[in-house]
Amino acid sequence: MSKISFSTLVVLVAGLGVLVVLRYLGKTPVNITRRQFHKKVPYLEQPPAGYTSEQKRQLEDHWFRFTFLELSKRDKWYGTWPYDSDVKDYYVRIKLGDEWGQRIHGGTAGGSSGHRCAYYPVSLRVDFPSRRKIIKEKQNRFETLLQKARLRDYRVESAWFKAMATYGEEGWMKLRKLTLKEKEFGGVVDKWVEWKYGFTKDINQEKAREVFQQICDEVDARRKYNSASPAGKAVEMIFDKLDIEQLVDIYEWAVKSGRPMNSSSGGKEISESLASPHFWSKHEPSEHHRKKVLPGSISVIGHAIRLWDTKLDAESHRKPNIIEERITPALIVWRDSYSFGGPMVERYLLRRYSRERRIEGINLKWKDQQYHFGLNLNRWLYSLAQSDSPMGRDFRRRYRQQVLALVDLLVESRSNHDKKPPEFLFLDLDQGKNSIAYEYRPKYFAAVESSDLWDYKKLKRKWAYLARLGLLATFDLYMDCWRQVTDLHELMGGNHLAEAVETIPRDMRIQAAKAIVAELEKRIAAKRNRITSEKRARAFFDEHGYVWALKRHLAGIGDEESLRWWVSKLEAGPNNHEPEQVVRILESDKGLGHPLVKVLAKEKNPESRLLVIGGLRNYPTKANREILNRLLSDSDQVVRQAAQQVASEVKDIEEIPLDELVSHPTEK
Amino acid sequence: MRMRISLLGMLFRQTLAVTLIGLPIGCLYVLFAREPLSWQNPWMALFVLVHSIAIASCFGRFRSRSFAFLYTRGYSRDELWTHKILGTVLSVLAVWLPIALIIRLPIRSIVQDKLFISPYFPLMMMREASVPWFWLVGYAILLALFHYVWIRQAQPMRGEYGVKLLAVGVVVVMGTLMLFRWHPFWFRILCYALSAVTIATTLIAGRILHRTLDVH
Repeated sequence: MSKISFSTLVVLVAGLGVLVVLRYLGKTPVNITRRQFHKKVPYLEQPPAGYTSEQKRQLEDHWFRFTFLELSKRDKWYGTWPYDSDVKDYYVRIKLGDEWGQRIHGGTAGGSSGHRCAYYPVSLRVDFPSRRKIIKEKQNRFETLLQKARLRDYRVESAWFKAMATYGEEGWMKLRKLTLKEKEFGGVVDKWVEWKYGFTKDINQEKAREVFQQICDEVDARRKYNSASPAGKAVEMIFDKLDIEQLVDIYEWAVKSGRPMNSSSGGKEISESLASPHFWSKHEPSEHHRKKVLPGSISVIGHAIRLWDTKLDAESHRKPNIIEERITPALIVWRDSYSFGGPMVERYLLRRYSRERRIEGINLKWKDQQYHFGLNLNRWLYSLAQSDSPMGRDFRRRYRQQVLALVDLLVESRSNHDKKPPEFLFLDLDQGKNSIAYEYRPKYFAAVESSDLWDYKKLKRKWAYLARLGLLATFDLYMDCWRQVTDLHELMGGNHLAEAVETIPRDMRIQAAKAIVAELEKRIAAKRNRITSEKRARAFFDEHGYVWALKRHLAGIGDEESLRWWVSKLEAGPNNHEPEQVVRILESDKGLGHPLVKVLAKEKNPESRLLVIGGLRNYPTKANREILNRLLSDSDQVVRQAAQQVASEVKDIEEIPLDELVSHPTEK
Repeated sequence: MRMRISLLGMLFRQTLAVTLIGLPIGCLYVLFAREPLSWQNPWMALFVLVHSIAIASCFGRFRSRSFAFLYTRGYSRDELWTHKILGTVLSVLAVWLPIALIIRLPIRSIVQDKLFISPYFPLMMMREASVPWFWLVGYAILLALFHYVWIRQAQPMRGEYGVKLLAVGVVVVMGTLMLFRWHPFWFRILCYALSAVTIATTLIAGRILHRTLDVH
């Protein structure tokens, strides 16, 4: 019996009422069979009153339209598909309390999945205006919690963790992402995990076993695991205290059992947002699997084993470790996979490659194929090319032409929209100008140049490639990329140019950015006297915009000359909008640790000192609090008053009880 | 009933030719087969079938003069039947045991690894180790059945075609089950149980019917 499921996106709230054409179906997520659906819901030839097409952005519209694939069994059927299909439109509204949800543009998504459309999910992107205020207040409480942590120099205690825990997985992930920009929160994340699982940094083996067992039991009960979650972080912190042999025994049994390791898995998005590899897995019972899916604790053990493998490889790459000796062969024999490295896998891959040398093609046998970027690649070649071991390096040297051909396919593939080069290209940079990455550079640049990317993205890609080359990329190579930009307007603004410049390594960045600025300023000086038309005037000012964006960026990374330049542009005047720009930047997430704060706080001009106040309020770190204390006894009254206002707000934040900063304060 | 070594030896010699042909074929196949062996390997299934038919034919030539000669030497029917079954076991082991040892000991693994540079070896050795047991079970089912066939054919009221059809049916069922790569756990247990019942039934029925064998 096939099923339809209604759920909501954007505001992921369960318990919203679902009305389909004046028939109430229940609270989201609604799961209903097709038979029940047709019994309850009449089909309307015309849309209901009040419905407007999705093409018109009507903010007040409550009706969603979703397209339903109706299947009816044929009396006589031919071929492999025994059903006739027809597409019909249905209309649905969502209610929360007394309020109808408003349709967000691009509102509905539906689609069949599985054999005979066994499962038909309908997702509705809905907004409730009354909830916007609630959501905003929740975000403010979350930010205030972060402020409290900053005020305590990131040394927080259990009450803080209790409050933060009420924000659930969402709060946890926000905090983890924050650690990429504000490294001090990394310690807070570690402490949170220690608090949650009741252990300390000097955990012993027995306690580690206990904690690990607790995590396994939790994951078994929830039937899902995310290596970026608190449980995953705890595993990262305690794995080396666990008995590796016991872990290997259990995992080996799981591999040999032949049962599915999970019902679904993924992790690309989490890995990209946290800039490190992560995965999630679900362990739900499934009709599609013949055998019972293994419990979630197997994923936890797998995670611990991966961590152990990395640790053991770092200690000694030459000798195979226990994981490579036992798990690797079991994975190859029973699962036809090779997640871990080691000499056995390498030999296996080399021998498989020796039997199938074609680089790609639809004629490759299914067991020799790997689908990637819209290509049927030779699985063995692809795996061997990515191996970061002495064997891998030797392989790339011996089969250089084949590896280059593979890189060509991957870069030129139409599915590689961003023109990202494969990571394995950069594994042999120690070979200097003989490395594959260095040899491939001109071809890569040509591929990027002929792609459909915006010009600033092309520049970004090329500079990112050069950044990966490290010391092999000279200053002239970076500047050559810049000089290939013929029309500045194609870069679409100074901010995009600054974004592209950020890909250049820091030591080269200042030199390159200043060289670009110098070239632009030369052009500006040359054009100054030749402004004869509005078009040329606009071009003239656009170039100014690029110069300013670059100089601001240089100031942001601490270049003294650029800082002095920026300060000089802050003189008050009716048409000077630069002070507003500075305030915007210092109050945003770019303001954290911005060098301009210290510089402006020491300026003679009180109006310059006033510009930092917003940044001090938003980021009351130790360094900023010291600046604030100095400004409290500032010679200028306006500055003093503004500092006192911020100090008072900071004091108020310190005094807010933590139980008022929970996710839902009414639900204590 | 005591074991008569000379009788056993004589019976084993009846299948010597089959053993001497089957042994090198089986051993060479498992040494040089390049794909990993599984219980569904069609060539080994065919080998087991043909070998079983050959063994049963050697012991069941009930129209031959040598057969009649043996049955007039004063041995009891049960004694002859028991020794024929033991002779069957020896004939099977003479071929199966070396094949199993080639697989379980790293002989096949070494040949595949060193001679053919196979990617699967020595890794697959651990998975192939259990495969010969399936062939042994195959031998047990087929030989018990084929012995029953010739014993049934040698009865005064022959019923020849019926029992041959039964044998063909069982072989077809076994072949069909082998086509499916995976069976649920409960089904596998059921198959093992049914196999044990089939072997026991055909052996017991064969022994009982052997007493009323028609010797010309």
